[in-house]
Amino acid sequence: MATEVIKIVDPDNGSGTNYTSLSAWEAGEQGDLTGARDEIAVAKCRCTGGTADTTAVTIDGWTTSSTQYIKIWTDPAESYRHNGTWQAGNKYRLLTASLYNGVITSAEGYVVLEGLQLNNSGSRAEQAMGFRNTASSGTAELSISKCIILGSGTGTPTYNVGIWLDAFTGFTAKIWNNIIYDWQVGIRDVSYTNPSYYIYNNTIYGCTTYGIVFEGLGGTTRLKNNLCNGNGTDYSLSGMGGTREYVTNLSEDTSSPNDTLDSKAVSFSNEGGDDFHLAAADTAAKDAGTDLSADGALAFSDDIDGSTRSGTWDIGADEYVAASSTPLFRRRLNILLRLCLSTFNLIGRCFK
Amino acid sequence: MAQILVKAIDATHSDATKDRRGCYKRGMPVVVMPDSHTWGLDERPPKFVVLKLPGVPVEKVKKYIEPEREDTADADGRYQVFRRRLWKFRLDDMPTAALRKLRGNGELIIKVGDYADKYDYTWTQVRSYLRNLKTNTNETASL
Repeated sequence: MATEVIKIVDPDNGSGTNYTSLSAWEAGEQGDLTGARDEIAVAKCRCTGGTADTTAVTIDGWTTSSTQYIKIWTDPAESYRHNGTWQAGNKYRLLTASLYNGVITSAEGYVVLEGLQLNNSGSRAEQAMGFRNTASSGTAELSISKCIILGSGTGTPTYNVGIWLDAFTGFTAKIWNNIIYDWQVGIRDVSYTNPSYYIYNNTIYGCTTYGIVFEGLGGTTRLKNNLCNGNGTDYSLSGMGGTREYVTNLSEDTSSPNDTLDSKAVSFSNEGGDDFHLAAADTAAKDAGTDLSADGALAFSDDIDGSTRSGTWDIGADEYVAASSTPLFRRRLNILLRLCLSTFNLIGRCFK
Repeated sequence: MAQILVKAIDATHSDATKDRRGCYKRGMPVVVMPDSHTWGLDERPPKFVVLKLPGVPVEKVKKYIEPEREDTADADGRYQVFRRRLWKFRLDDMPTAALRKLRGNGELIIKVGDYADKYDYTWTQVRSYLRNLKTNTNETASL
């Protein structure tokens, strides 16, 4: 069984930092994970002093497999992961101006990204992307989950895409619980090949041309519980062959492949402030999704910020949880009650 | 105010195209950081060395971390990466004293312009070891 080799990436060079940029980690660790190393190469990203990572990352020159792969993430047990909205401060974020590429571009077969914030401020006219896959042969599985992928460049957009998948037969992409916004296109593949796509519970907003574009593909394409609102056209799924499965995907326009979820404007916590958590008052996405906890290809049961999905699932990256029932709120209430009790005990003792 | 992190050992891949396009080779610049930057535990020999250029703006040396791209665009108008980096320091051709220093504390201080503090070499000396891999010529530009 492959050994996890964890290296700490922290632009602020806090205690125990191995690399001060993800790009340097990639350069320092690249190699054959399948041979004598028999390794899962893990970059655990931190941001101890508030500094963003500003060098674009290309993942190439490695050898990986389904059990010996690359994992880049923020550990939710630490405090450096976003809370489901774009956050600065002590939250790890990759902020670059990459042209003709992604903030992260990967030519590798087996890559896992979890809990990252990617922002490309490069010119929209020069193919600035959030994540770009360039792996082009063999077998590959890409996983992207719980990421916030934001386009902040200006200009007339050309191939300005949040997640660009240059796919091929043998390529599998699992993309779930992400928030992708302010691009020309949120997620795109037009490769006319036979990959396998599992695109579940993503929120895609404010993309000027399309939310999700899959055109002319064979293979397997399953879209479930995706929320597209405020895009030029929410879904473009023309000419699709192969195995297709469209389950409870919501659109603000009439392009959803699930007609009952057409023309649904979702209420977000703070749409103008780019907070795409569901509002308490929402009636479009809340309890309108499908339980994927036993999905045959991609089973999960939480949302972008780690809240457990329960009951009838919500559509999109966020599962609405009433404030009073959040674990954090309960913990705080518990501490407050204990403090009150201690104070009353102390007062009681004083008057004995 | 720049420091250049330079790969000090070759990465290799059995696929020749992937090896050229993806693998960092000894002497290739990886990232550029400001003078004030402090490096992590693995950003030193044997994997890396650092060339310090006090007082030089980061923007001036960013070109050294660009990849070498194909001459012609693909169907989508993109110039694909041909080689991981366009530039490479010929570390093994540097003077023995420089190599000894790089093997030791892993850094060289390079004087540029009117920098008046302690230094190991001048930019004029070092740039002749910085090779453009596309044209196969050494750097002649000032900083």
